[in-house]
Amino acid sequence: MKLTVERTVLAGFVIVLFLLGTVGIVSQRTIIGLIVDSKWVTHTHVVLELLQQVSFRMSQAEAAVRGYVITGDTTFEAQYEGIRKQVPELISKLRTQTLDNPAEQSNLASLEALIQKRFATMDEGIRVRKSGGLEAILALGSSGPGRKLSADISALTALMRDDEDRLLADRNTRAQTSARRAFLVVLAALVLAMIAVIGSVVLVFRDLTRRQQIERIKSEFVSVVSHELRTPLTSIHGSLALLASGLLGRVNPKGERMLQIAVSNTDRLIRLLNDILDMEKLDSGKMEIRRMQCSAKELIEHAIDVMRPMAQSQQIALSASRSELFIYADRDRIIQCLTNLLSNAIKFSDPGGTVQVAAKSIGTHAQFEVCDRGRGIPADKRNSIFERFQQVDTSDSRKRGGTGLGLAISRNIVEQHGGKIWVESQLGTGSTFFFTVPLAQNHNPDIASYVDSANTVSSQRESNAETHPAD
Amino acid sequence: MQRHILLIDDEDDIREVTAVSLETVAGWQVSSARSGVDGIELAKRAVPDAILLDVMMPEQDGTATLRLLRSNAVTARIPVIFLTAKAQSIERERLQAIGAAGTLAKPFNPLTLAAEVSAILGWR
Repeated sequence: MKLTVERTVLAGFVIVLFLLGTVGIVSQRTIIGLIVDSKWVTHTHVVLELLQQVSFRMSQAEAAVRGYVITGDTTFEAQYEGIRKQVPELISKLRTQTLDNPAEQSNLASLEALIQKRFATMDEGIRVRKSGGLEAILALGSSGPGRKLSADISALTALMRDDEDRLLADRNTRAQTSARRAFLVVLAALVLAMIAVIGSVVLVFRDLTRRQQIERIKSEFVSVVSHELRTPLTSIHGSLALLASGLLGRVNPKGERMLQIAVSNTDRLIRLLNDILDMEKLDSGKMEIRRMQCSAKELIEHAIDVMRPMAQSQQIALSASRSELFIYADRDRIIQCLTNLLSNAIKFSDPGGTVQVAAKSIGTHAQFEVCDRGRGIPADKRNSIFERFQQVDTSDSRKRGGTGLGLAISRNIVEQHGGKIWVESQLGTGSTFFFTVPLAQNHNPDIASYVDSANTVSSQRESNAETHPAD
Repeated sequence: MQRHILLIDDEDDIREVTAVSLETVAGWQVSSARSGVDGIELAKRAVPDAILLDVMMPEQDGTATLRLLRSNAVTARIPVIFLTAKAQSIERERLQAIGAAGTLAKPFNPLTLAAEVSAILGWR
C-alpha cells in the first residue's frame, strides 16, 4: 500500500509537470503565432495603402496631362513629371512588401508594364501637344490606347487589392482557429493537472488517515495483548521459579533441567514482551522521557548491580571506571540502555572475560562506553544491528536468549535524548559500544567540583571497581 | 518476624503463586481476597501488616479500593503496595500520589518478592 500510494503520487506529479509543460509550449506557440499574424495584418494594410496610392497617383497623372493638353499650362506638365517619378518608388516598395508572394510579384510585374505603357502614352500626348498644338491632339481623336490602359491598371490594382483582402481574411480565420484550439488545449491541460493534483492530495490524505488508524489499532492491540499475556505469564513464571528453586522440594536432575529450561524461556518471553511494549511506546511517542540531573557513576553502578547475576552465571567480570559526571537524562531509560549493552557484552564474551563500562565528557555530552573482548561484529553488520530484529547471526536470538530489540530500543532512547549510539569493533578482538547524552548544565553547586574535575581529563579520578564472579 | 500480608487480586492463580512465594521464601502468613470489596472486609477484621493490591480488577479497581481503605479508621494506616502490569514511571508516580507505599511490576520474581516488599516498607 505504502509503495503504491507513493508511486501514484509520483505519477500524478509527473503528469502535472508534463501537462504544465504542454501548457507552456502551446501558450508560447500561440503567442508567437498571434504576433506573426498581427505583423501580417499590418503588412496587408501597408500593401493595400500602396496599391491605393498607385491608383491615386495614376489618376492625378492623367488629370495633369489632361490639364496640360487643354490649357498648355506648363505647371500641369511639371506636376505630371513629379508624379511620374513618384510611381516607380511606390512600385518598388510594393515589390519589397510582396517578396514572399509569387502571385502578387507576377501581378506587380504586369502592373508595372501597364503603368510604363500608360506613361508612354501620356508622354506621347504631351509631345504631340507641344509640337502640333491642340489641333494635333484633337486629330488623334479618342482612339488611342490610353483609355484601355487606364481601365486595365484600375482592374489589376482592384484585383490585387481583392487578393490582399482575401489573404487577410484567411490569416484572420487561421489565427482565430489556432487561438481557439490553443485555448482549448490549455484549458484541458489545466483541468487535467488540477484533477491530478486533487487526486494525489485526496489519495495522500486517505492513506495518511488509514496509516494513523492502523497505527492506533496496532498500539491498542500491543498494549491489550501485552497486558493479557502478562497475567498468565505472572502465574507461569512464579510457579516455575518456585519449583526450580527447590524450595518446594527436589525433583530428579532431568526434571530440574527441564525446569531450568522452562524458567529461562519464560524469562525470555517476558523480556520479549517488555521489549515489544517498549518499542511500541517509543514508536507511538508514548514513552515519556523525564529528564533530570543524574550521576553517570550512579547509573553505571545501578546497571552493573542489575547485570551482576547474569555476569556471575557466565563467569564474566564487570569493571567500571568511576569518573564522576552529571548528565541531564531520564535515569530509568539510560539504565535500560546500559543494561541492554551490558547484557549483549556479557552474552558475547567468553567465560573468564571482562566487560568494562566507562563514561567521560566530550564537549557538551557525556560519552558512555561498554567494552567487551568477545568475537566482534563484522563491518557490514555494524549499522544494521541497531535495527529491530537484526542480529549478527540469526541463530543468536535462540542461542543467547536475546529479543533482537535491545539495540533498537537503546538507539531510540539515545536519539530521544539528542545523543548518538554506535559501535567500534574488530573481529576476534571485541567490540565497544558508545552512546552520548547531554551533560547537565546547571548542576548542583555542591557537586560541581566533581563535574569540573571530571571535565579535566588529566585530573579525571578513575579507579576500577571490579566485580568478579567470585566476589 | 512473621508478617501478615493481605493479597487482593482477581486472578486465582496469581493469588496462589504469590501466597506460596511469600509463605515459602519469607515464611510470612498470607491471606487473600479475590475482589476489592472482600479485601476491605478482610483487612478490617484481620488488620494485616501490609496489603498487596492488584490495580486492574473488574468492578472495584485497585485505586478505588485504596481510597476506601484510606477512608476507614481501622485500615487507614496499613501500607499498600500495588501489583501492576504497567511498569511505566508515570503510572508508578500516579499510584504513589494517591497513597501507595510502592509498586511492584508483574510478572515479579517469586524468589525476591518478599525482599522487595521488605525493602519498600523498610522492614528488616
